[in-house]
Amino acid sequence: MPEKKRAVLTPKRIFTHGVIVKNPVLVQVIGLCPAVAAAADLLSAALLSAVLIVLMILCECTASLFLKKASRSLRVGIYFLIGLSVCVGCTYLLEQNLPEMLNLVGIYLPLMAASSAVALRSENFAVKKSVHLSFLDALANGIGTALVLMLCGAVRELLGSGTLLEQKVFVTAPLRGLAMPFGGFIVLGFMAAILKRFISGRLTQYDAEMAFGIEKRKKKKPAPPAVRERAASVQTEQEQVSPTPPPAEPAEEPTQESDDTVESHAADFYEQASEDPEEDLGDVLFDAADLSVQEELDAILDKIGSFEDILAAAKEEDNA
Amino acid sequence: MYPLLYQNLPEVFSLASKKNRRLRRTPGRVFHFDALLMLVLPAVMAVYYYGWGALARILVCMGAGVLCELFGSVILRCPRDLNDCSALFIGLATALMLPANIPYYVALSGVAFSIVVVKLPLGGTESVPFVPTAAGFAFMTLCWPEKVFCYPVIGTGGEYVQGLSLAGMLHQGTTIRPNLVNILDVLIGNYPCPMGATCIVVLLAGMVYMGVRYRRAILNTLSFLLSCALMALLFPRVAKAGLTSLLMEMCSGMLIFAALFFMTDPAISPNKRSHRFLYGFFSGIVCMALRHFSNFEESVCFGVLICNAVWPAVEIRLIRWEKKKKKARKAAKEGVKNA
Repeated sequence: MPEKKRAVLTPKRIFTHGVIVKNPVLVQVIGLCPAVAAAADLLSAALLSAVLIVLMILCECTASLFLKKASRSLRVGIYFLIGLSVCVGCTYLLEQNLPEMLNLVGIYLPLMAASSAVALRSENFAVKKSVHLSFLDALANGIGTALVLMLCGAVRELLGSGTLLEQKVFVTAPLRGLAMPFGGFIVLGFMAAILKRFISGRLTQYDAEMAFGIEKRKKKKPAPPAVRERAASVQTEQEQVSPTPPPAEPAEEPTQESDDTVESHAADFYEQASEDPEEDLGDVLFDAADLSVQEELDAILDKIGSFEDILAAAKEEDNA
Repeated sequence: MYPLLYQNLPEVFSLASKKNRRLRRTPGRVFHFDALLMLVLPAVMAVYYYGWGALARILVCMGAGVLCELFGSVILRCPRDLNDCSALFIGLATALMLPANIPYYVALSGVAFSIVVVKLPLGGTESVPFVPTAAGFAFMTLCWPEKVFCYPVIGTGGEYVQGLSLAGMLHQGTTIRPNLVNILDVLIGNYPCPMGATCIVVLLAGMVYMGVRYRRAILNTLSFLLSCALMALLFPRVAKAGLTSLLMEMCSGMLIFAALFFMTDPAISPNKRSHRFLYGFFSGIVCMALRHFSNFEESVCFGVLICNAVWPAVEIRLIRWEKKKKKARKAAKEGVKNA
């Protein structure tokens, strides 16, 4: 196995990741609350974005400077304390100078103190890296979030209220529903799709990196012990039946093993289906919910064809 | 394993759709063609009651459905299959759920939302986890409630005079007595209401057709209506409870329309008969509860969407529970044999 090369963290790479490839809102889907609920207009989206950037920089730099040796529970508490102090300060400033802006963001400004995006980035990145890199990462992630929030806010304000920065653009709002939270989800969904398309088309080198987490989930798990026993028994039976063993094939040991497992699954599936097709149909397929056997079942179904074929085969066998 | 269900909801949906792809008894294209046939009579009644304006809206919505399917599949790069009639069905059903004086842009937005935002990106006719027409109607309701629930009075000679629908009366808590509402008019939809969703007689004929064609699917409809009827009897919204409440609740709004066309969608219906019954019953309770507590006079679509979202998780738990029960029974039998 060739060793994986660790990518060098250059400022360009950090910015590309934070803003586009691993955008906190569109790709990592964290910190959705301000994007969906609060960013219904451009002004409040801009305000929340500014607060988030400040909060992110403060938290990540603090984590990188002082909290590398602290326990995780303590670190998370400190992130919240920093968040609270920033939010209280911002609320005080807005109350004194721009009270109408404070009304605009409502409860969502205090909620930023417990932003999951800030805590996650600090924990995943800042406590392991230097201050310089942490600052860049906070800035990149903050800008990435801010861009999404402001774009989402602008689209929702324009289509949901017919205004932009409180200036009338349309006489009546074309799609009033977009100003509601469900509109935020729809706009974010389309933005995520466009971003994915952009990365697959223009930034092909980052396409694989975008799908982080999915590979991990798809990783094949070892079959449960009962299945392994069954496979072993089937193998020994086969060996007993055939007196002259087939010539040993040199390579592909793991594939052979997995094929055996698949065969034993197929036998199980076949038996269960032919016993009571009407009742067990759902049960058998819903075994797929069990993540440990889902892939095997899919492989079996692909291998042995549709369910109707299985039933037909069972009937033929019965007749025979 | 159970907590994982909620962490991986997309997988639950994909699982449900996979199950339906493999086990579907009724191909989606056949179902939508039949549903389209069933909608022809309500469309004729709509044109009879509201004139050419209704016909124009119906045709525009159907055309918009086909165009959205064509262009949407090109833009979103989804497989296109116009032969399954679902685009036409969505257009026609959306038009029939709206009042006859609905502005064209509202109807077009609803159809476009159903197809471009719900149906195509979420897997197409055969695996979409939500009923696209219900989603489109919910979108219109949220965006333009004053236009979606503004029903014209029938027979005003081409001029639209706003009237109060039966669902509106029930929502406002107006005292309804049988002598105030002509039962025959209610049954034939001769009062301010959606264009084609409240002609009960025609919808019942459609239900008979569906019962003949799809014996398993009609179970969803019947259990849905049964639970709605029970809720109407137990929690009446009219002054005179009992049969009056039952009749008014069942005939008002789009309850029967939803029972017939939304509950039976082959991409969403469960496979087992018992699960179909439970799905319909559960959906009926949710829809009637929403009717009681919602701000809109008609909330069946929201109820259907909530059930679409919740049911896959409920069904998986149900299947697990049944499986456990079956295993325990088997073990008990083996224990008795061994003893």
